[in-house]
Amino acid sequence: MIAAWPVVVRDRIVQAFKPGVSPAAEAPFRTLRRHGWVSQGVRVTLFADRGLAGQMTFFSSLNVMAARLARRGNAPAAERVARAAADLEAGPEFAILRSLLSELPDREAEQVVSGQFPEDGPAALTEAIRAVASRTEQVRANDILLSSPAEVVFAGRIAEVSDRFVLLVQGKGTATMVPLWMAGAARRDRAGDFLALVADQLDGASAVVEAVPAIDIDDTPGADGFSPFGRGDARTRSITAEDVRLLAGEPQSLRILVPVTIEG
Amino acid sequence: MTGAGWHIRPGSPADRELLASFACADTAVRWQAEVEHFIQVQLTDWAFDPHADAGDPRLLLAFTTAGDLFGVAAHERVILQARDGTIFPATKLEVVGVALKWQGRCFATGERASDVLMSAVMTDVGSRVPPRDARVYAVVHEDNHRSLAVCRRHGLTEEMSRPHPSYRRVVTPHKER
Repeated sequence: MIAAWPVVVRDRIVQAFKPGVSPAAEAPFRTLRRHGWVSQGVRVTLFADRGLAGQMTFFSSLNVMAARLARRGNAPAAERVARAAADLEAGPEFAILRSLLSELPDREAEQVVSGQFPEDGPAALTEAIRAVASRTEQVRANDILLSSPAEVVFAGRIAEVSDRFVLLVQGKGTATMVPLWMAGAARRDRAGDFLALVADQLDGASAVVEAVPAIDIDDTPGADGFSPFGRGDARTRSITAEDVRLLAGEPQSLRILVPVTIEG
Repeated sequence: MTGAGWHIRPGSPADRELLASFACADTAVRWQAEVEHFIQVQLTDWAFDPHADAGDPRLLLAFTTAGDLFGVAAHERVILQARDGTIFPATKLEVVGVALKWQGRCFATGERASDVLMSAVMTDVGSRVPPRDARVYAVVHEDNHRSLAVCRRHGLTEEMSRPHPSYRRVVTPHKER
């Protein structure tokens, strides 16, 4: 299952509550706080080589939904969803994620919260994000408020990239085109990336459509016997018509970064 | 031959024991554990399978000048085939593993251990006789960001179809004919 990124920064909650205002605006967030339409979030102390590097607060993505409910005037529902977000943030999945984020250098923790994995980041970080996303989806599935018809999520994998659009395909085969700049803003603009589109209804025929990073929460490779190693699995060597087009040109020279001599 | 702080040599069947102790994974992470398992248990048989000579399988071991095995890599010639019968000769990077204590580390001269190992692989691919096709690809778990970054740095920048939903297949680029 492909799920929207499960953690967010404050800005996204503000934009869900007041689309179009500056995401850094203080007043909308204070309003959310005052009414209990947003959780406290999770504070991470960041360290760098020379000691403390500041603090960062991140939130369960359920808060975005709470903010939308508040915008639509459904205050009781917004409060309830914000409480669900707070429960999630107090759980073990967030505790592990918080601990891992606090160990990241420089601004990498902020990048992770916004959907990017650092190239040299620990594998456990991916697992932690996946665990939070999985728990979030469980909560959403169990709560009727969280499957509001006013909010439609289309999550999938980017199958093709052209100069203006990416083709986003769901597991069951349905697909949609997304402007390349939207996918790029979510830092998901390459073939194979996971992306989610969230259509947030404004009125009868209009909506705010947001592109957000996504993650595959079913880590089940090997369940069907696939192994990338050895000569036994023909899938590592079989190619599609699209691959044929990709490979049809003249191969470029190999790139060798470090001069190396091999014995023998 | 010795580089600034390393030397690379081809593996031999006698390296089975050495490979059996090579640690490169957090074994709690399944896709990491399978890399380590392949190197420790299967790689020697893969490299020296007498029925696989046609693919010219190559096993490379990278050592520090102090003699520590810091990297293991293997590659071979394969044929990529489409349903319509179209084929492309290519080289598959079978495995590239950096020892745990060398992951993310550089030599005193500034080269990353992973770049030295990957450069050895590309050098070896480029020097095979008969010559290998310059199409080089790797199958990498989508969560293996570190390996994907190494592949990108070494020119595996194009994305082919996935052989499995959780595994990406990256390949060196091509010019228009």
